[in-house]
Amino acid sequence: MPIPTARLAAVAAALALAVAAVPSARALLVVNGLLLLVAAVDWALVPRPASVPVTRELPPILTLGTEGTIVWRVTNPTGRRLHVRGGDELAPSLRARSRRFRLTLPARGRVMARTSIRPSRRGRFEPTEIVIRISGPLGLMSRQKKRRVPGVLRVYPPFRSRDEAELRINRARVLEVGLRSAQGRGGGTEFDQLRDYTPDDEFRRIDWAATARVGKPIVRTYRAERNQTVILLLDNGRVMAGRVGGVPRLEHAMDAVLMMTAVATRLGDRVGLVAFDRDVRAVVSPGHGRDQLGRVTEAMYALEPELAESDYRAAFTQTLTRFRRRALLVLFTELAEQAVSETLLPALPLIARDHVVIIASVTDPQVLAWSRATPEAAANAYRKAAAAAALEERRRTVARLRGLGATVVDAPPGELAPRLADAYLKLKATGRL
Amino acid sequence: MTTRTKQLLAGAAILILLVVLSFAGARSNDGPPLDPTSTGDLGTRGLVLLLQDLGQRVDVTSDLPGPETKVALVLLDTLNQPRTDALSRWVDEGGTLVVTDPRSSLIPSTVVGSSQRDPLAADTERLTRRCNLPALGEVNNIDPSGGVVFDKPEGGSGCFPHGRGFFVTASAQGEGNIVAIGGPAVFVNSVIGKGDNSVLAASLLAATPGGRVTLFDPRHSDPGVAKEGGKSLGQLIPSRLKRAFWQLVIAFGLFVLLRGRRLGRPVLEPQPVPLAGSEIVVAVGNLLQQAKQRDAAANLLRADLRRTLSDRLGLSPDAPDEVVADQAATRAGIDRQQVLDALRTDPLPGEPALVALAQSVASVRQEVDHAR
Repeated sequence: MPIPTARLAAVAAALALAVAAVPSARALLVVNGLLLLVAAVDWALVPRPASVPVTRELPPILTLGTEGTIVWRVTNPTGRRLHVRGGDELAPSLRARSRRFRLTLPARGRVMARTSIRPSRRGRFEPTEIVIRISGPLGLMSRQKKRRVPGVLRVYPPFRSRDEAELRINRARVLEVGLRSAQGRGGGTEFDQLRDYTPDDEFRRIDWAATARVGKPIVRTYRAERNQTVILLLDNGRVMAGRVGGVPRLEHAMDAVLMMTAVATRLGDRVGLVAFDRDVRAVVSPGHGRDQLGRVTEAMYALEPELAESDYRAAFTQTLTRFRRRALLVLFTELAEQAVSETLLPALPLIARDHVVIIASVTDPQVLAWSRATPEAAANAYRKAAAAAALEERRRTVARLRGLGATVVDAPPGELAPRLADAYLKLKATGRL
Repeated sequence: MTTRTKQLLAGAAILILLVVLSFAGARSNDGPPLDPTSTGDLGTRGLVLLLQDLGQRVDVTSDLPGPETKVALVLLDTLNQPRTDALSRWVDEGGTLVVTDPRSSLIPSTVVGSSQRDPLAADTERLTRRCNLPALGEVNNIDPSGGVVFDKPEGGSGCFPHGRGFFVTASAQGEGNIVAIGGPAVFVNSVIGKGDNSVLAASLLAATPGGRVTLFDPRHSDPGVAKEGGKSLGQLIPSRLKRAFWQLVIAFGLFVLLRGRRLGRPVLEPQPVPLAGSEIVVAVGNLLQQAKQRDAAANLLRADLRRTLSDRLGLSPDAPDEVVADQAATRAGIDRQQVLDALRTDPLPGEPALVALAQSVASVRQEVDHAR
């Protein structure tokens, strides 16, 4: 379809003066007839947009919160200069500085335009179309067409607790090599080496045979067991959709998943992932390679909370079927009383019998604040009462889960990942895995 | 609602308003001003009815009066020259012509001023007769409601003086008379009842019982006479300007076509449902308030306080209130009576009591926390 340009509208408006100046009643007809003729010629000279090659370059992966660049390249196949405008199908949450570009292409030339994006949410983005509009040589008319230029951009969740993870990895390694006191609980149970006795060592760790052999006190050192299995069970159901601190609980859980993956794999354990709601959505087999963090991230990045009840029993059954080895199972979920008592509690014995279970959940600091506030109005007093009841309900739920043998880590956003890692390291150090 | 939607709605509202005004702006019985059939404020239906009540036969017509008609009224002079001459001859033959259009060439007098000192004043100034014309003997003062005054015609007389002129003048022509009135407003429906306006009408137009009055229809214009107000606003615009306007409309149409075609559709993106994690707490609080369950809310607050104190003070959860209060006073320095009051399970008289209880609970809790 021919599209007039702003220049054509401006020319038509300017011709109003000419029409007013000419006394003839036919002036309107003649002037616009001529304008129409010129515009038609201009339109006929516009090259077809389908004949103009256009490409888009997307960064393959971005982490939420970082900035990336999108580059459009347009080639002029004709022998004269072209004015091209384009509009890309970029989702609003990519927060592109502009999703449109305007280029002047020299004859047989290739020109690029770029814009920056800073996504506001993670996920998979698949822009498929670019609309191209080319103006005629006189700039009076233009042609427009959609061009199919498929692309994929993956926006990964941010790993906000990366520094905390590094801190815990370093601390665990320090404990492992015995630079800290051997009386610490980080000794582990797997034999590591023999070394000279120091005054801080426990007597029970003296290897008497070696002492007799070399004639001086020698102690055995132990390290935490390696190559143990950690399965992260990420609940993707409705209870994880509620926002805490401005983002859904699932985002906080993902941060903790990344932290657990980073810490456990760096300490030599094998980490796997099962994400589920009504069905199992993603599975990553346990592994301890350096790329395991990437595999887990890749499996999680496109997950959105499913507004349905999670089927814990099916998820646990599938996990046990796939991974038979004794493992630490970390369940990331919300301690909603109804969901826990009706679905999680009946299913928990399935995994708690043969495995070590940690249940990780995010507390809402807002509810905590309401329960501690000094209300000035009746509405706030009622809300304080409701908050107190909710917290009490949560405490009861935690107690019931602990009663079934699970370790519960219930922490506010920002603290969940570090406290979960601490719980993991503690279990590991005490040889409970 | 987007700005574009608002603009569209505003445009639609203006359009609807214009349509409504165009249809409803004029009342159903309102015709053009001076219309003898109109009962509107500016119509002259009242004058016709008055004359008919006085036994006159009123002919609302564009035809010239015949010899049997002795009185004629020209509210608005829309006669061309030949008919003006014919009417003048009818006067010469003995007719009485009353003319209320000051611009009429039938009037022998000259306009010398306005009938009002302040033409913009809300209330018009009434004029007193101050003349000895026998025909107007019963008219004392009139409400001219605008209009002009004439100089006294040669050989004639003037009544209702104002300034240098007279609102009503009378002069003989041939065997007849011409009475000039400074404006037609004196006979319109909304004014004819004021002062002695109706008496003036009766004196001039119904002097002879059972007579016949010709009222020239002001809606009629003779050929060759420009109809007053006949041109629309559009017809008053020069054709060149009109063509330029249409050219601008074409330019605007092109601009609309340009803006109407987007450079790519808006990208739809399903967004996750924003559910606050604390929504259930807010909902429970609202339900408690709407159901006026202040005692239930109070019990929740007391249970929370009791649990907190028991935890902090190392007491059994079912310890008596007095024991909890004693321990709180001894170990945390909290006012014993305050704790007792907070834990007491009496029904609350109203919401202020609930607020006071919640404040007390918060206060005790803070003191316990600080004591730790």
